[in-house]
Amino acid sequence: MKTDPIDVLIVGAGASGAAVAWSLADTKMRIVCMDQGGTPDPTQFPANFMDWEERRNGPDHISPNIRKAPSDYPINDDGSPIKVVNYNGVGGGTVLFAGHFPRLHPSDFKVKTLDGVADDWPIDYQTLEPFFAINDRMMGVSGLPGDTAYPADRNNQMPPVPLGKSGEALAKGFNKLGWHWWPSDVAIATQPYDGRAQCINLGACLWGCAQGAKGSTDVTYWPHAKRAGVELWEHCRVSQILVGDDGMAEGVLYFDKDGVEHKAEAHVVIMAANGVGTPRLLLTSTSKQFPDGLANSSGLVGRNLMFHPYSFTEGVFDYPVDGARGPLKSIWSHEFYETDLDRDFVRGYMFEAARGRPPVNAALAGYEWGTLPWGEGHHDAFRKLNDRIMAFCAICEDLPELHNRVTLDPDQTDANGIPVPKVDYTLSENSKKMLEHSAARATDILNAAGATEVHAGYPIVYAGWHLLGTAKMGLDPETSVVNDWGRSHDVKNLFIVDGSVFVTSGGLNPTSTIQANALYVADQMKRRLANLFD
Amino acid sequence: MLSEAEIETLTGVAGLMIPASEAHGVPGADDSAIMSEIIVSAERTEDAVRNALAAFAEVGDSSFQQSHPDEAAVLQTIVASCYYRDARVLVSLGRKPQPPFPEGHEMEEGDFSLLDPVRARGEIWRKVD
Repeated sequence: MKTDPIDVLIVGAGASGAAVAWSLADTKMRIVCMDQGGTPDPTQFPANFMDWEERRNGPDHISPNIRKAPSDYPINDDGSPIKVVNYNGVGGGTVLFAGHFPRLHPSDFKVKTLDGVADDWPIDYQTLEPFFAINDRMMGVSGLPGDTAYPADRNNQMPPVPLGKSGEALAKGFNKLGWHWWPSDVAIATQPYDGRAQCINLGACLWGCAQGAKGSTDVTYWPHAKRAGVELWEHCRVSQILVGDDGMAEGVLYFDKDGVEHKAEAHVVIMAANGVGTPRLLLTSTSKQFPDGLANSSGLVGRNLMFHPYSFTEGVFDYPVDGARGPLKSIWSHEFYETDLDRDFVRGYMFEAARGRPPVNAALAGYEWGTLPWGEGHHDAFRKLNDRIMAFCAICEDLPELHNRVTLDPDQTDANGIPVPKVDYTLSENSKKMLEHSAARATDILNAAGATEVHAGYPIVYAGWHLLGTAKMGLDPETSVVNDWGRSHDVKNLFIVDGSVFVTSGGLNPTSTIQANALYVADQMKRRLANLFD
Repeated sequence: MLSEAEIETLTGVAGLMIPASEAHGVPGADDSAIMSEIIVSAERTEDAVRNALAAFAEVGDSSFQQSHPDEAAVLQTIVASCYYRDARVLVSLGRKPQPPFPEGHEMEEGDFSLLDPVRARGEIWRKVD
């Protein structure tokens, strides 16, 4: 390990940490990124094993509270109907994401102006557009240009993922109803790309891609960042950001793999630990200058937590569709994305097709729906479900509310004695109405596509993928945590680049926008190196 | 560790839940090879399984699925997880008896001309300026 002073210390090696590290590497500064986990081993992902479906319910569960890997920390989410899901290690949530890669819409940055709710962002779509493009190249995005739901500025690196039988059936359903749909943008290689093999339709995207076709940052940004000199310190769990008497961050305290505590000094600290991990560490970082937590003079650190409430609707068909084969996502629809004053809620949601269920999960669905009996009729009933279920979910915009928040649990600590985050969250009436609407429209689509039975449910409990809003970006230090280029209002050498800074959530998967924003912040830092702390 | 009596009950439940079928050419979930995996799996969540088996013992037949849905779900998850990965069962369903990787699956690309009406409708994104 080098002993030179660290110029830039990044906490978290996931979506945003990888992007900011890679971008800053061309400054030739000494950049260190710490992650509490290691680099995932694709030979150990569930898709390698016959019991892959069962592993997903235990040691490879998407919830850290169930998975309980050494790199995980518990999250007290008893006070939330939506549970946090994540991956703690190099690649972060991208190791387990579906690769769905929509961008926020131009309108998402102007919700106060357009719809009179929440706040406008201090930046806009045009600000991020060049960084969306860079990020798409780095992550390798497959799709079809020309989507009528977006400005005509998107170019995909590879052709779209297969529609398959399920995508085609749904497309016909949308066409019957006259509603928008388009092949999804996904960070999955449909051709060999940047050292990645092409997708072979394993159907296990959410539990790590054994093929390496999915654009998780351990296989996209990190190989490039490391070659450019960025140091990746694995199994280093940060417990606190340290500040000097001058009120500037001076480094972090962290625990190594053996539980030994160390101090690392740095000139700049960048938080990239997600919308729960980042406020947790800011809140543990109390000092005489910052008794309520670091960068928290506004009192907003941890507040305005936004998930995306999901509805999940499944149709059963009288012919085989895809089962779980293929990339999880195939098509999306932005038909109900924007506010419509004829509805009883504001803002909207995106639909995303989600293929179907593999055998074990098809059986469990049958049991849950009461259509799969015990005994003699089991086998015939199962064959009416096997490969014949098609799934469809809606990702609803979650508006910021102060009472939805991350705090520190007063009693529980992780394996290193660090207080665990406590999540308190309630679904708003607006979200409930939106969920109900989305399930009804999804039912319409599945019926139009020819489903013989439809089952809808919401919200999905283990769907707290998107952790947003807990260190809001804004121009006013009294109503935001970081400024319009990611720097803490209170601590001039502390930056935040993860989803914490989102002002609003949009109604779609945020990874593309999180990474574009991280690249934008890195660009701003590079432009201002001479007076970064002014 | 589950007791011998508990394993005997579990075997009975598995066979009741998914019996062998000559018509489909498949074993029941109480098949010895499948049961050996079910037992390993059950012992990972031993307390919940033990409670479910105790509840089943009071009912003793397939009405347990309706009368005790939570306990039934515990047993259904374990039995289905082990049954529907057995090579004989997968072959009977027309699947190769292998995990997804490394062979993967063939997919139909689909008909992208279905987008014609979407294109004909034109842009739908909301302008902000």
